Amino acid sequence: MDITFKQVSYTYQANSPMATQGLRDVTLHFASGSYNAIIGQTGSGKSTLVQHLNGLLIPTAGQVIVGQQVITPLTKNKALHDLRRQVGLVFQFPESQLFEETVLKDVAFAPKNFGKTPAEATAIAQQALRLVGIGPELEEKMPFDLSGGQMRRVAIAGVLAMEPEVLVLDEPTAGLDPVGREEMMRLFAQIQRERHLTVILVTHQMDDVVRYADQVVVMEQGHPLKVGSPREIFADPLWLQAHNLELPSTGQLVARLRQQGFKFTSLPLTVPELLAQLTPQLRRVPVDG
Amino acid sequence: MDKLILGRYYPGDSFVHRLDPRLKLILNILFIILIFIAQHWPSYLLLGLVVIASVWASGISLRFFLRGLRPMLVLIIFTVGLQLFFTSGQHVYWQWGILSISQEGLINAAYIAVRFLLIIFMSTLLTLTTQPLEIADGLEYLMKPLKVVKFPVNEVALMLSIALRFVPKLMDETTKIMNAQRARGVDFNNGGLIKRAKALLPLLIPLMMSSIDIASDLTTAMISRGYRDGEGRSRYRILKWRPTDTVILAASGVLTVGLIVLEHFL
Repeated sequence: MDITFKQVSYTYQANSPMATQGLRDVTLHFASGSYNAIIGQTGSGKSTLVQHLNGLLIPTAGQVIVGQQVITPLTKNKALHDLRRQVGLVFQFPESQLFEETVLKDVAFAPKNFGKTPAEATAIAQQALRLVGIGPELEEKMPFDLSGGQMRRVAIAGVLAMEPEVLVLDEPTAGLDPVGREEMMRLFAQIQRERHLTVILVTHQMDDVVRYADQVVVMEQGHPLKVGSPREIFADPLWLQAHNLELPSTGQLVARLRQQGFKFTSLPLTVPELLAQLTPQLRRVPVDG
Repeated sequence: MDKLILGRYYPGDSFVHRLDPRLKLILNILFIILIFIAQHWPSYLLLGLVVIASVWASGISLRFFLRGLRPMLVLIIFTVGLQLFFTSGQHVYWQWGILSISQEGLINAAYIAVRFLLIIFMSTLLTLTTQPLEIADGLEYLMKPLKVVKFPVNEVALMLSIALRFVPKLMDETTKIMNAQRARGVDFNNGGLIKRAKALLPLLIPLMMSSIDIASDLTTAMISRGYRDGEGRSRYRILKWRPTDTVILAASGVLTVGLIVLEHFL
């Protein structure tokens, strides 16, 4: 589904002395089936932005258009039920949303809310659980008996079971170990390809941005500062530094190699690209002893 | 939830903000006692002026105040209504079954409304101008005499400050879980009573679990930083009683005496 933000602003606690601006004149487009990353410092409005995608927050000004649905400041909550099914939102630390007695029931909760029969919901839930790598032996356990990583998987399965067309991931791998992180990110990429999902990923992991994203949005103080491909975004290390953003790890290595006298014509973002530029130069270096 | 301002802190640096929290606590209790001593309109007028002067001195706009009190209106109307319709008296203006409006009822209802408003105003002012931790410190100080009867003052004070510290955290957590469940199709605002009560389960169970988690994590962290129990600990936040506090306390004393005298002659 295509997603468009038209001059969207959002103010927290509007009309009170405590009012703070969360979003400021945001105009953005996320193409159907694309993988988008939103980066920026903590408090730059990333999470506020993604909560507009399924109407958890209603803009105080402007329009959010998700597929056929137009959300304006006047949109009522009742009109958003259908949108919530189409947009799956995985929150930061989603394991805190588990509540049912068994893992299976918890995953089946969302499909049931969106009108599936109990039997259908159970079938979908089992499918979603297999997808995230939870075996049938855990289905009847209490969610609270699982390990942190397993709980995270179950929570994510709970969102995937809604069979959304847009998947919004708000730092889905925060607090996971490296293996878990890698698996999770691969899973999302795989699902995106298979189901042609529009993915919107909020992250601080620049390596994930480089590896998966088609489009990157840099947020600063509630406003999109720069939008472009990862290559365009990471092309200017000084600009990144000025806005307190990290380079992906290849970029960091390149910066150090440049100090050692290596030359790079363009910034390599992946390991093969790095090797392609580095190997010819290494041949020229005389080998000691 | 956003609209209720009672219990929230409004950052500022006004005259009222700078008063000692112990003083503000004492004055609040005193004020409630005074409200119940007052039986006549001139006394209420006097107390009303005190409230308006205090709000003015706090630098918080009266409009913000009034808007924040709107959620309490239901409670006030309910109580006033009860007084109005169920007070029996000699001058009955209107009667229908057990409901009646009498002169006494009208007067009583008006008194209740004014008392309610004044008390809510004052206590809202206390929380708006005093940081939760200051309130906890103030309470701890004021509870000290209870040590004589073996009341665990330090523990209660610690409990209070931890509870206050976690109010915003739990509020955030509540919003977060609510959002997560709304994203999974839960509707918190529609449907009948039973349906709505059921919709609270996906909110309350995770909230319970996370409170228990937070509590056990915090306990471990406190013990590993050398906490044993409330006794024998030093104190970092020190309350400072200043000359202005004495002046205000004296002024309140004069006001109290004045009110009692006024009541005596009316």
